Amino acid sequence: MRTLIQLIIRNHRLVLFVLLEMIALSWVASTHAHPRGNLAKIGMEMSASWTDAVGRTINFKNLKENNSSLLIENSRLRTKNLGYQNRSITNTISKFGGAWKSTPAEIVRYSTSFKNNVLVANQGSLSGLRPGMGMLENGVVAGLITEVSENHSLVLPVIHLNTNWSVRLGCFGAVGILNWSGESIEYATLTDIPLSEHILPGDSVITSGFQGTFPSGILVGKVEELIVTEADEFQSVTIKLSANYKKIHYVEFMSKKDSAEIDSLLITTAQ
Amino acid sequence: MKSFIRSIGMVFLTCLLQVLIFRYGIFAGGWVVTCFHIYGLILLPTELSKTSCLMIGALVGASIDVVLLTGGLHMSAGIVTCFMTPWLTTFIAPREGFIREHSISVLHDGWGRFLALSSLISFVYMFTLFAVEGWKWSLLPSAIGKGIASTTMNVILFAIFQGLFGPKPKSKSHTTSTYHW
Repeated sequence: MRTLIQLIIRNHRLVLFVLLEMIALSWVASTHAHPRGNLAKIGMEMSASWTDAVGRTINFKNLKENNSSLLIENSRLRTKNLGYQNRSITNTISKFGGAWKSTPAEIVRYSTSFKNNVLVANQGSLSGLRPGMGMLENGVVAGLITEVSENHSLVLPVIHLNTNWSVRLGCFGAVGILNWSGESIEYATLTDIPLSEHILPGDSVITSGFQGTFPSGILVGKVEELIVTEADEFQSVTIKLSANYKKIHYVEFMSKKDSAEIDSLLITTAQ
Repeated sequence: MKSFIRSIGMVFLTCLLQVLIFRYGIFAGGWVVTCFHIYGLILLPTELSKTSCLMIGALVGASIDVVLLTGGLHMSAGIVTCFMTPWLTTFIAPREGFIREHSISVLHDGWGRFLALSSLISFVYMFTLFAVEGWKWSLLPSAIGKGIASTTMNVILFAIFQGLFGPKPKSKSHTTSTYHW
């Protein structure tokens, strides 16, 4: 035994070479002959994380550009998707379903710490935006355009004291009015919900589509808690808003192609 | 010690360049493959212990394998190359031997020795790489051919780098003013 150890110590370089070469060749064998080998798997995982790290470093400077192109792509897909939805509704319910169009933009100024918060987006009338168009943040309701210049738009978010939003509880629930109490930017209050309506925390609150600002079915938030007053015929609901105003950056504006026709009808009726 | 740290830095730099840029240097249907990290192995100090050299070769090869998903090919080639490097260095060393803390360069050893050592190390590396990749005795002739082709390409690359970024002779111009102020 002692002789063997002495032999190994004397030829330790050769032993190390053989050992390392065996490891390398077994790695080669595992990845070339049996791709599911554990060594190959470890190698793949390490490689993936390494390549990911290198790729992230390289692509970091392109992040803004990538985000913008993703936003445009997202907007194009949403427009297409809403067009398909309206087409299917057209066949079953209405003959004249209007198509929605999405326009991407970036928020360049914002305030969330006041009672009457406003946002400014970097697209204006030159991009086809006009007052009354709804704004989505990450696919959920976030605000409404009130003023437009050639290159910028002023947006009133849901967290603005002077705004009311027509929303629905779930797909077939009651329609109520959503407004912001001015306390937390994460919560708003839904009022005018009949007492007969059965509501549970976690229920979705979506757009009704009656305002013409958004298509129906866009997520606004989730039910947080119910506020029921015995003397009142209606109940109020605290809603946790889905839009994240702390991180708002990339947004989309929704416009309905036949909104002018609907508006002219409403004006005629009012007269 | 300073020379050793500089060499390790050079090994790291060459590995990085291989991973980021030279990994795409595959030409003539896979017959010419660029392996720039061999340049780092060539520049290792000549008095480095054989064990350390072996470990560095294994680590460099394994790192390249992990990134390029070559599954042990570079590790195997790196180990064989670094196992043989001390003998190859002795083979081309001058009669009186290399000076202490010496890593080969055109400035100190001349183009002949630099190109000879680069060619030998590159060929051992590339031949082992292609031989292990082929994994068949019948593919050994093609491994030799690919080894020679890739070695030629790599040695040209190393010569260019050595010429551009290798040690430069100190300027012989007299800096003392001729005027006696």
